[in-house]
Amino acid sequence: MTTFKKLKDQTLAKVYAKIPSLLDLYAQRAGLVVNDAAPLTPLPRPLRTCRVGLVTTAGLHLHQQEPFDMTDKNGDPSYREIPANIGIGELTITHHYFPKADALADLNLVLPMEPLRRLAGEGTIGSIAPRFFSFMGHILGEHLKTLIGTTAPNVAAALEADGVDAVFLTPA
Amino acid sequence: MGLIQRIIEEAGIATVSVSLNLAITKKVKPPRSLYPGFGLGHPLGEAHNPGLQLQVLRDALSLLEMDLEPGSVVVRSYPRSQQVVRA
Repeated sequence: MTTFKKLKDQTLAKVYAKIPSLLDLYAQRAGLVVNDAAPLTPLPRPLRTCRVGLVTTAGLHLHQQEPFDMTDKNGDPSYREIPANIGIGELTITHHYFPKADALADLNLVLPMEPLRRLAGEGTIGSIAPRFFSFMGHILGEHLKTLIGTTAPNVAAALEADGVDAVFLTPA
Repeated sequence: MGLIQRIIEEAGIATVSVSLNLAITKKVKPPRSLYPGFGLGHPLGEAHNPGLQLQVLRDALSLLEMDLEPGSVVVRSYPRSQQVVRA
């Protein structure tokens, strides 16, 4: 990726972070998918017995995994599997569309692995999913079709295969 | 992220997310969200503030056991430390 694009993306991210009302303008003008209704699946059993997973769009991945493609202006609709039993220090971020200095200093800020372990330890949730999933946000154009038609359904199927009852998702 | 959340929910798995912007969330309509008022890059609040992160996660997961309308966004505010949020 060109240094110029990276600099531009990170500068824009800082501007959006400093002036949150700009995000409202973005919401009005961006080509967001607008929905009139939402699906709803009830929790199948009490939370204290549920297996809970995490999904983020903060662009996290293991250091040894392929980084997300930041050269494509429409983003990267692929995802990375993150084993749930790793140390959080084994992860890094490839995503330039949000201010990430704090997240890099403490990745629980965007993928709360350690807080989730705490909730499992105290019995608030039943267990933790064996793997988490990470996307990058800002998916546009043709890649949106891939996300909706392929990669997000693949993650949903993987969560189902893992016996996950509930998922907590974080944007960035 | 809301689109991914909707697809997971449609597959039969209950989901809850953090919203960082009410206008975007109301358009995309994920099944359930917690809006804690945090900025971009800070869905759990603050770095190195495990108490706040735990509270946000606990509150979000508690929405799963509430009788909410599809697409509900629950707004809560949280006390924050005086630390500077780094961009």
